[in-house]
Amino acid sequence: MRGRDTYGVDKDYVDSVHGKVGCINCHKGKNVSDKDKAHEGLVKDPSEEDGGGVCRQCHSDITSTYKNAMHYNLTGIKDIVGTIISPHKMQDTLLPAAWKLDCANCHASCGSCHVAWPKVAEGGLLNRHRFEKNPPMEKTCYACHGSRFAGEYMGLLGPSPDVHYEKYQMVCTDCHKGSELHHTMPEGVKRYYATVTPRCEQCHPDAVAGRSEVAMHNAHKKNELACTVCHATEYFNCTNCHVSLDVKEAGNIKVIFPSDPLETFKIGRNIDRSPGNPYAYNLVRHTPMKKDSLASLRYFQAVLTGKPGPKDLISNYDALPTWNSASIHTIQLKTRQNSSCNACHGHKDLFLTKQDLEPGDPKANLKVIVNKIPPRIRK
Amino acid sequence: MRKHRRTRFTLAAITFLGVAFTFGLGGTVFAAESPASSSECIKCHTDLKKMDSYGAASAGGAAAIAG
Repeated sequence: MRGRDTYGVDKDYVDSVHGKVGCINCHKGKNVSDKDKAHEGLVKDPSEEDGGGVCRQCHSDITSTYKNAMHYNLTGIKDIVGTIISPHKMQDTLLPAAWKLDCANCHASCGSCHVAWPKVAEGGLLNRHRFEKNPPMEKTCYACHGSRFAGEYMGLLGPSPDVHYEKYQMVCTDCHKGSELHHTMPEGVKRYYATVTPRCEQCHPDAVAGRSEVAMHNAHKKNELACTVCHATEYFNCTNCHVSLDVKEAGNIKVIFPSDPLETFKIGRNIDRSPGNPYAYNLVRHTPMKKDSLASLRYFQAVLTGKPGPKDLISNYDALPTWNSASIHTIQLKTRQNSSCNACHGHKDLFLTKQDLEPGDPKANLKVIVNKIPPRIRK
Repeated sequence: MRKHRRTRFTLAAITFLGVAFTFGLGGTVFAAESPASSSECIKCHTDLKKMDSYGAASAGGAAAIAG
């Protein structure tokens, strides 16, 4: 990527509605020719603060809800980490520092979707500072969701892209509207508890069990199987993930995640049925986590603060499963498992069973495994 | 002779007014304008060749772990 792609502003932009506001009114700094002096006090992302920054002046209708939206405050990650380290408190550990160093890179400001690449992709302007009402998914969504949803959707991970992309060139925002991304409802909920989320039946009402022309749809009870159980192909997981700090270069600390990638297809039990995920059975994905994933933080805490962190940082590891319901984005009309009833029934390899669990896995995984594989159908 | 002197006087007056405007009133007006204006920022950032000299910040769409 050339410097112009990172910092270059198009001459046309200057005459646009946002361009007429003037650089300094948003970014601060000084209007002088000397580069260093011009950049004194510069605010790189003026849209960052409190879910809107300077955007609040004209777009308060969006920023008033965005400050509490999942993409801004990453509620889901905070909630999970808080649960598994209980009864320890985040503030007694290096986790808040690790959060600032890495996790927070995936939190999205207005600018990190509509003007520049997200921080995690190391920034740079998307399109010469033009404001992109509809963010380009291959630069913005993919930058944060590349290792799973967006990567598999575009076929950059796994065996095939999603049919909605492959055949119809649909982009993320065709399903995930701004109203969902800017406003998590109800406030502060986890992903599957949000009430405004896309549902397959919104576009495919004829697929709902009980009123479908497809016999297989009616053969299963309503909300028994997630659509992906029959219509997704294999998908990407991370296992044996460890969080560590790469400090090879002085002053340049990076968080790294050595892990083993794995492509699977596993049907599991949904232990957290909710309005956005009401199904009894869902596809499950391995969360990149192990009991000792954060063990190195204890060592680094000792080095950095002179006092080691808690020995058993993830002391409540058993509380949450590492195989979790997943929204797989590798949809196809025809798949290996939906080619006939017995392409799925009786196929133990398609289901998460006790044999798939590793020694040391959290006890909560036992609730997700399928104990009784649906038998082959004789007629 | 008188005409030549008048021309010289006119030229001197114009020069004086020019200098006065540049460093006086006009200078003050431009100085007052510069904090709100972004002319220098625009001049530099729209010069794409110049921006290339600052190299790449490596925005490359690396896939993150967020899923």
